[in-house]
Amino acid sequence: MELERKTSIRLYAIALILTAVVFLIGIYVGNLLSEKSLTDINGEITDVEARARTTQLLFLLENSSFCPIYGEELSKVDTDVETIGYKLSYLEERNVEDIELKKYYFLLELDAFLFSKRVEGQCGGNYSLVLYFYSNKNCSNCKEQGYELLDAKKELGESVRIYSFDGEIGSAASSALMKMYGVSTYPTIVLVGENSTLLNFSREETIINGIKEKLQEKNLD
Amino acid sequence: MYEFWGVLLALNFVGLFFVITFTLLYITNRERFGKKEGRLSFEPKISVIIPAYNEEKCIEQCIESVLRADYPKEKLEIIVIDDGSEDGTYEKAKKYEKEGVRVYRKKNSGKADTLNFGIKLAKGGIIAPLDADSYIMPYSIRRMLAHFDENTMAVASAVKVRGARNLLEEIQRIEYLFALFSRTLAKFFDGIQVTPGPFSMFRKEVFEKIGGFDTKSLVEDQEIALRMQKHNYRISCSIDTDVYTEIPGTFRALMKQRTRWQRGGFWNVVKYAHLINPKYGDFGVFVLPFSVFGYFVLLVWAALTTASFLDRGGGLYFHFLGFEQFFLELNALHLLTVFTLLIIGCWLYFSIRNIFREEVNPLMIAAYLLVYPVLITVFWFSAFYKEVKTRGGFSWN
Repeated sequence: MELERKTSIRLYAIALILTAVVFLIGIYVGNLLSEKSLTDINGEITDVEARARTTQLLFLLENSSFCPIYGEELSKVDTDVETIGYKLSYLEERNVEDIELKKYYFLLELDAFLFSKRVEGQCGGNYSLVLYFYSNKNCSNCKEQGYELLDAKKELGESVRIYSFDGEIGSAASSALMKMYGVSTYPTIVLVGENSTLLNFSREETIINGIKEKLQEKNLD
Repeated sequence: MYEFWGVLLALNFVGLFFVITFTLLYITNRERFGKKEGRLSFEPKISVIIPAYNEEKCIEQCIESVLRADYPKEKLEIIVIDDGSEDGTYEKAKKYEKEGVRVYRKKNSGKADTLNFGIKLAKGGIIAPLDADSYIMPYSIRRMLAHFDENTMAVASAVKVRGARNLLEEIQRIEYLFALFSRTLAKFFDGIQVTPGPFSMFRKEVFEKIGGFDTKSLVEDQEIALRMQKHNYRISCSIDTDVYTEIPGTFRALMKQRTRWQRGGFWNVVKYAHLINPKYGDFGVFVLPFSVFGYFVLLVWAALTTASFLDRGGGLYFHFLGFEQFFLELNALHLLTVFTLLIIGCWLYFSIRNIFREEVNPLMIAAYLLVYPVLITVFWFSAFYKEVKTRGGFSWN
């Protein structure tokens, strides 16, 4: 005997409404969590900024016996700045972005970079400074370049300090540095030194070799 | 994978919709869940057909379980067909001829053809194929027959796994129980898509009207059920018949079985995709689309798993951020996926403990939810490889 088929439209309608409600709650709570991540990062930036400021004030005393303190503090600040940077790029890859927060972060990076240079000048230091300029809009291999740079950092550890800047979000810090080092394309890696080297898309080995050369140059000086 | 954010959210929405619909279906039908539509006194002549290929280890247990059935002997016909075994299956089955078992031997031609051979020999009004590596309980036949009302053309049994010995077997045990629960729910939509190979019952007229098992299909028990749906035949199912089946105990054996299931299942769905049509009621607008959606999700899952293995970012970020990475990443997609999995987990725990009255460790349910998708992805790749290798040709192995 053949079946008389029926369609449970009422059940589907109720299920659809419930699904929509659960889904919207999920989206709302998810967005709250993403916002919370950004707010937490904002707080972290403020904390690091305050610590950097304190160290810079000490620096104004121009007492070279404080060099170990500067070095230690600078190292801590740099590590924190880097970690915040990883968090921001990680979130960015997952479509969680806050342009103003990024600009604020780039200012902190610029601050940390300039301070590193000044400490390097006064106290020396066995590390190399690297600037990385990228774009999330007009750069097909920037993501790949970021990974190559992270690989290099993983390999070189404390002997390299990397500061990354998105060149296309209208950040004054990024624009100033790009102009200063003559960067016009993405991705560009600047190995900072007396004669800075500019690298376009480069593999991990090239970056490591370049950084090692800069370290050698520095030691010879 | 976040480039496909919109697609992932859409899949999540559809998945959540299916899960919520099934939950509502249970809530609205909980009093009828597993209830028998027919009479316990229904006693037609039954032909149990046991196709066997190299089953010397299990064939005796299988035949003896039917001989012990609580059912009038004069109404129970047992037909064993040895499908060209190379071991002692035939000789072992032959011993039971003195107890009325009819034993035949033929050249190897596959399970579906062997079943069709048996159906031609059968004299019963109810045909009950039983896998040689499975066995029934004394009450199984009566309890299944009680699901036949005048409109029911076939009844699916409650296939279970006894004594899981390792994680792989435990995952399969949970899987079988979950499949049983889902099948019982699908019954309320007249949407059962499989009459399990281990043991099912059909009115003989089903085969007379729509033909026997499809010898071209790799999963003939699903194909016949879909063909019955096409002809608007009602399939019922039982939850308390307790038919136990042997399951693969090693990954290699499981892979071989599931590769065949995936390939066969995929082609069956393709063959009957035209049943996605409102004229087939809930089956056409919900149950079959749900199966197709399942295949689609599996494909997306396989693609994303591959992509995440190839993407170096996750590992690198983990090096610098540690576990903080996972908390950073919490977003709507994760929350909704966790919520959906949580509902499925609750379903599993509830159905296994409260409906099937079996023990289950909640951690095993978590393991099932985490490991099973990975296994399925591996089986999918294997099925795809096999399909390409044989160019869609039929191969049981």
